[in-house]
Amino acid sequence: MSENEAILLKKIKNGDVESFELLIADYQVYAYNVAYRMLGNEEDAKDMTQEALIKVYKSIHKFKENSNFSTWLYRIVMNTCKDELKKRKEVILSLDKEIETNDGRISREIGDERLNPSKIVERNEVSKMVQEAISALSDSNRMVIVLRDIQGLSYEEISQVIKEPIGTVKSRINRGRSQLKKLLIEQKHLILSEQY
Amino acid sequence: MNCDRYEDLIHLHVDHRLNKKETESLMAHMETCSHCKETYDEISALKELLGGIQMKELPDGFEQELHFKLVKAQQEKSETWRDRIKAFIAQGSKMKLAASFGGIALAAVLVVAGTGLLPNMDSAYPEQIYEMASEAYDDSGATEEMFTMATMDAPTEEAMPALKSMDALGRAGDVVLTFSENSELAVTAGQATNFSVTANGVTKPTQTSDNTFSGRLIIKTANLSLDVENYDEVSTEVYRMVEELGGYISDTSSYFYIYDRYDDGNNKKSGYMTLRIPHQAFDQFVKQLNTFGVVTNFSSNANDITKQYRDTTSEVKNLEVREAKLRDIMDKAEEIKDIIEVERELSRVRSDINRYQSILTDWEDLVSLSTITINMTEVEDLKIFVKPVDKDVLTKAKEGFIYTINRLVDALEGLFVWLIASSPVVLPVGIIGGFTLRKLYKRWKN
Repeated sequence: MSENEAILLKKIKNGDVESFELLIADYQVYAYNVAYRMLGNEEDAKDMTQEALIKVYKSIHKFKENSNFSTWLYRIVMNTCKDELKKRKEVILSLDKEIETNDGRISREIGDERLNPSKIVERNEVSKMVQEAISALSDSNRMVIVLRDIQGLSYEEISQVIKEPIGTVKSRINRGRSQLKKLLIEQKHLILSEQY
Repeated sequence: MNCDRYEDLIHLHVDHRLNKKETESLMAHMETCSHCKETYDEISALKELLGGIQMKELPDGFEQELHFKLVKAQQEKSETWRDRIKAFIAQGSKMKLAASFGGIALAAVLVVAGTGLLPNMDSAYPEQIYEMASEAYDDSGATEEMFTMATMDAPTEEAMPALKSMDALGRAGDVVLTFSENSELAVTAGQATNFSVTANGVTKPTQTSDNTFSGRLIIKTANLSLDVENYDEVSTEVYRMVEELGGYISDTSSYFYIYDRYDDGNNKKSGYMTLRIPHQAFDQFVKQLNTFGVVTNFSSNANDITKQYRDTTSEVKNLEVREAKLRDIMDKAEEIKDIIEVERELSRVRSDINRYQSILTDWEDLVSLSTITINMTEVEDLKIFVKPVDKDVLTKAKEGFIYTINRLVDALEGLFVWLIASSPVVLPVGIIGGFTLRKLYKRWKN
């Protein structure tokens, strides 16, 4: 924590909003990107980033000056996103759940929208494709992948952000990457087969 | 070493977390294992791909929106501190409240327990629930008919025997009679549940004009509460007396109330009446009332208005002289302007005279006719004003209290015995269960 930040922090603790905005000026774009990778859409990312930053502001008195502000910020963003994802899961219902009938079970069929040409164009954009693959990861794996490979945090920092030991971070990175690799390769084949 | 182990190393290698020895061993393995080499290439490519993802820029208006929210949060923050203090104080008073409630409850229990122990406690305050009968019948959904009449008519009297005694009212002049009658009740009870009569004595009783107001002018009013054994009988008698004396009833209302909540049929009547009687008869009348029942409350007031009355009378006289003078001037006046001015003055004087005179008439009325308000309550027996609520109630409460205490002691004893007796089973099961729950919670949390 630099000296400037320490001064700002003191002002923020007295409720100064402008100082807070100065302090987070460099961080908010990272926070936003993390949220975007976690949630997969810009609207939610914006809302959750703001919610997280408000939380940071409100609980700034809990921040210990000898710890790393960015790590602390990342953790709050991550937790906010996690809560949001949990909330989402509670309302998401399965589309292909089997329906019970008198003659046994039948499965619901859903129209295939993948062959829509505009969608294919979108999919060709690498970042879109990557984002989709990231979205398919489990929440805990996605978290470490986003922090490590997109945001470039060290293993130690990640361990601090998600409050898990380094061993767990390592294994999650390994698992996440392998899963992601598999997903991307599958997607690539799919796109290729659609294109030709 | 198998390939799984090397895959772990690959991930660490792309993150530059391997030492020289480990790197060498990985490289050596990849020379021979094409599968691991492929994995390594893929992972490196993936890392490059992810690392090369362009940072998304903040959406438009992000900072303004955030600023707005922050300012709001700041206000809330300062508010919450204030709220917390308030809440703390409120909590304090709440606790006080709770404590006082607890104290009251405890006191009540002690009183119940204590009084229950006293032998032959046979007087307690009866719970009288006054309930407007008409309200209760409204709820039953019965139709309510409203009658408004200009004068008293024979049919109404037939329908309402209770009104028969009120012939006197007919003479008092214009009587506006408004009553609501419940048709169902009329069949079963044969009388009105609630009726009120408002009499506007426009035509004054004969005595008023005979009065000369030479002596002292005193406005007498009395207010008394009367417990009677038969409401209807007494009220009829009162009406008769008022009629005889040449007074009138200016206001009356009566209703049923639940006398004994454990005896549905035993409803009693209660009500009030405002009487106007000639002032000469005031003392005698009040004395007479004492014979009808027990006077539980009596107050009377005499207001001497002699001085005010004289002042006002002389003021009126002065004004009348002035009026006469103005009329003279009026006759002599020739110019329109003067006439208008005098006329204005004249009308002002006239209205003053009228105003004072109406005050005088009111006083005369108040003095000549004293006002007596009687609150009459019908009771079962005049000798005992209060009856015990129910002889059994206190005993029941005492028994219930003892029963509850015994049950509580039994339950606690049982629980204690059970805990000790089953501890060899309960303890291990509890410990294992606790651990499992904790584990499950941790897993769920992750």
